[in-house]
Amino acid sequence: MNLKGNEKIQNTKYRIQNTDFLFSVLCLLSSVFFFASCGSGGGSGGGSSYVTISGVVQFEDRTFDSTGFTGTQNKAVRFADIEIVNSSDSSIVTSTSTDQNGNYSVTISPSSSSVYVRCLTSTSTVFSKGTKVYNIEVVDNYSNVYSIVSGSFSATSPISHSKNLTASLDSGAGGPFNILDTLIDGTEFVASKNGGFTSNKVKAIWYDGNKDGTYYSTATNNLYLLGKSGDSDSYDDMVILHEFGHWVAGNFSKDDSPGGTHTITGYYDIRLAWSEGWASFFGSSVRSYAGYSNPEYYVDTTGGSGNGNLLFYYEIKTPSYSSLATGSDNELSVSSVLWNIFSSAGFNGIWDVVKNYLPSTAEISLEDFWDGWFSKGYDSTLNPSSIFSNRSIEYSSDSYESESGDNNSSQAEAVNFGESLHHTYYPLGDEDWISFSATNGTTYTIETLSLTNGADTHLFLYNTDGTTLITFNVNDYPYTDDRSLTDKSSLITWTATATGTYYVRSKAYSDSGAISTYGSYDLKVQQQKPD
Amino acid sequence: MTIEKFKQYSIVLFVFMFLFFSPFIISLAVSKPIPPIDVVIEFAKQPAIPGIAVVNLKLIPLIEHSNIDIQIELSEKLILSSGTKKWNGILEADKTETFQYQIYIPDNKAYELKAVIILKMITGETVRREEVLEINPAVKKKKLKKNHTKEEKGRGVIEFKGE
Repeated sequence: MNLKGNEKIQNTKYRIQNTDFLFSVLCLLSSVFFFASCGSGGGSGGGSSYVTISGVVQFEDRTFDSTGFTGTQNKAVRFADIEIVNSSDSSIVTSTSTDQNGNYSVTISPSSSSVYVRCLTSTSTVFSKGTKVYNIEVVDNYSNVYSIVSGSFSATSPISHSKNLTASLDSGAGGPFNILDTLIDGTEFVASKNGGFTSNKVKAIWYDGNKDGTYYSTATNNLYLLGKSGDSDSYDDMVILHEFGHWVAGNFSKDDSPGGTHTITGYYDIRLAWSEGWASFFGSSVRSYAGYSNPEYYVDTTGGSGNGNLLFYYEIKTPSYSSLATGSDNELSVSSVLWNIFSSAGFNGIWDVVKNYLPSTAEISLEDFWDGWFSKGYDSTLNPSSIFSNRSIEYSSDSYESESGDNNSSQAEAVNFGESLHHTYYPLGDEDWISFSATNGTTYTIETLSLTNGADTHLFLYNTDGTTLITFNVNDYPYTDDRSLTDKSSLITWTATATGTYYVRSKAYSDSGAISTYGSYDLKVQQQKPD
Repeated sequence: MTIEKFKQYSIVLFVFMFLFFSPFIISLAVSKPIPPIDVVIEFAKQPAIPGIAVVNLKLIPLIEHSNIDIQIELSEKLILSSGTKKWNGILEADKTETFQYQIYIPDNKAYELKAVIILKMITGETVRREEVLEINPAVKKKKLKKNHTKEEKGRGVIEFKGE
């Protein structure tokens, strides 16, 4: 009864005052309804109150290994939104979600209209399983969500309908559902390690013909996946998880990568190397948790039909391109370090550092992960020194440090001209001092070379007293410590005005714009020959 | 214009430029890894149809490759006027190799030119790259067999037959 009905009753002159009489009328009406319902219950379906619609939803998955695609298999569409849609006006009659095995079941009131079942590439109705909540969506470039649908059927009889759905590879629907499935793998992994997920939506944008690139945007917090001929990523689970790894860093930790194109054999800004190395490692960790074989392989295919179609692959455990996968400025080296820590000590310590330590630091790189590992006390579980040194990452004191120290002019190591001395900036704030004998009127070059592990050197030349600053390297303003815009090594060219022993102080650049605190390099002094 | 005026205009221009470009500076994208070679295939000359198109295939190696195989696959009706379909050789790091092809395009239908590149690196790994140049992509038929897209309360749904 609506409000207007109530008002009419209130206004009538024949308002019923006798509550006993009202009670009797209600009892009579209840009896009529009760017996009416019993009468229809004896038949087999005719006039039932509800119609049940149930089924299982699957998608055609593509299996792969390091050779590319190896076949197809049907897989459950998990936790996806299910809608029962009125065929005539497209209104949503009711909605639910598939379960872990792709099963769904709904009941609706009988209707004279036809309906159909629709399974979406979204979990936006928020399927909740215990403490886990998923909020994932796979859409095209216009934010249209993908779906697979049944044919229309009458919602009156029979009393139950079985409607199984499959998103096939050939139809084009299998790809978006694979993206959803892969992101659910990633979400399940994070939820299990983190004890819950975030309410932030995971939105992946993929469409057939997309040439925009595969990337994660910090501005939109969305994943973008290629769909172009020759490189479609809808079935490249590792590529999808790599981008999701960036999403996880952006939403649970912090990512300071400057972004840009990168290859696994290249040496880059240590922030980029960390970001990309983490993302690939994360993908492998998800695949390991979900029980897939060879999770340490990153595989990117062309997306073409049939088996094979490999674009390229690499391994992170014993890294491919091993001779090039070195240093904290190479992403494959970073992935390998993390994977080998994961293999020995599990994921929990890594996650604790990534989630709880890194956000408090600036210019995040592998250096910060190293510091966090020790700061959080995980070195008692696993000292990762050998794992790091296997990839030529020298977070350790150099030989001059450990012998007698070289941290001031009185400890300075006397050098021979032309001799390269290998140094590291370690521990934090480390300075490396050397001395050399100069002759009045002779020109000398003092330089750092072979910089690795993100080293950014800064050189200072002191007089014979070891305290009076003569000069420091100023080459390319405003990058006062660098040899050039793209070369962080240092160079001082200086002519002696008196004969004597002079001192050189080398330290990591620590002024505005500094990124690294550690790093490896060679230090050399040369005497220029007279013309 | 006085120096003071010039300074004022410069500051206004700087603020305007910063505000205009700041979204691009702040909006960073972290992308998927690429193999240690960059491959570009592009038109050097678009043809009058029917006519001959000139296509460049550029290989930009980031590390040294001990061996490389290139194969060009053409749609059936396209005719290769010049340029070799298969090539084998060695690539040096940071030295771009360009291959040029002349291809006769008979009509304005959609075609594909696929370059398959198999690289063997000095580290021993093999990488396969496929790059496709679409010719007249505007007339290319849509691959997806979607039924239609529905608009519902501001949300669009692309429907595929699932039975």
